[in-house]
Amino acid sequence: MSPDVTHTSVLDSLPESKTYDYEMLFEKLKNELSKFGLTANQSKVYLFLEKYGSSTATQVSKTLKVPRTETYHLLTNLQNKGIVSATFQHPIKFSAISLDKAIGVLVNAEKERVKSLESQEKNLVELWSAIPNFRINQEDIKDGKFQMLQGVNQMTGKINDMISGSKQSVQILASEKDFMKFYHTGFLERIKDLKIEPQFISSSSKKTSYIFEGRLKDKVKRLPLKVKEELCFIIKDDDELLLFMKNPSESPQNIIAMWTDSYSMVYTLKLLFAYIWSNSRYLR
Amino acid sequence: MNRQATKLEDNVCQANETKTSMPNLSDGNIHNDMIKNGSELVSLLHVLLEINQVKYAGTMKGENRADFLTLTNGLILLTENLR
Repeated sequence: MSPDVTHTSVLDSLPESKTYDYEMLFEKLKNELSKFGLTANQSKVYLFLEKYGSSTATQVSKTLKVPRTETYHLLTNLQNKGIVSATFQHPIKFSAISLDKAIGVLVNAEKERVKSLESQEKNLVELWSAIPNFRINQEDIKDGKFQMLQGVNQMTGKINDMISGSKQSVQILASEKDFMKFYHTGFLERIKDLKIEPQFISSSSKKTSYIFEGRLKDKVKRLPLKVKEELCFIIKDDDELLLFMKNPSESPQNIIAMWTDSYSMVYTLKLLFAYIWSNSRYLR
Repeated sequence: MNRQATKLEDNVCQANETKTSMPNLSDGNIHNDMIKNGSELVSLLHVLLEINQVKYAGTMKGENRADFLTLTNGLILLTENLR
């Protein structure tokens, strides 16, 4: 960017202007980048540098209408993240690495963070065990517990826990679409490898029946038409239940599920499963 | 809720304590006996779901309560369709 450039960018275009569409795309990208750990202003500065080329802090500050002190902070943070670099010249010019490389850098940084958290787990648990319990009421909770989970990641984690902790059986009632997800996340493969008795009720068609391979083939029954596709539940042994009720118009991040180990809830859903199972035909 | 429901709720509570009062679903014979009579079983399911709904919704607050009611209402509706 030349020093005498006018301090405007597509980031502040008018709705009727041609660049307005670009601004909308910038906004969308900005939101997407927040998933990779960038703040709104960090994304704004990064995207500006990526598209407009190297610029001084003053140019960034004036064009994006971000206070100069904050601009320096933002540029330093982006440098620390490894997606912006600075020249040794004066005035310093900042440039951004390409978006695909930047995403790679950010993803790797997150992976490293998770690795480091994993390595700290043992130490933390040891440290925690060294502190005695101070519970006054030592009575067990007899009536069960519950958790309301929101979003795909929370549910995937919970399903993983349930499958790996199962000792006798896993019963799943779900739509074809849900079973495809379970297949692609590796849940079905894991169930196949465990010495447990699986039972599935699914609306899967012949086209997708390949997901029930090997010993799973004889464990699937067809979901009756009168059972709504939105319903999905997973029962682990006789003691845990994960119940979903999906609204097709909602995004996967807004899906709500309830996990519970309440005996009466698990019992009721097991009874429901047994009833539907006994009234359904094998998929094979 | 009628007297039958209250009786069933007692059963559920007792089962929670002893985990033996309710027929074991893993036991094939009891399981088969139970599902032989479809319409009665669906009625039982309906009542059990309502009991669970009343019992647990009362212990929840705010969004959790609303989500729980949505989930259990969906199941109650399902049992009505199964009749």
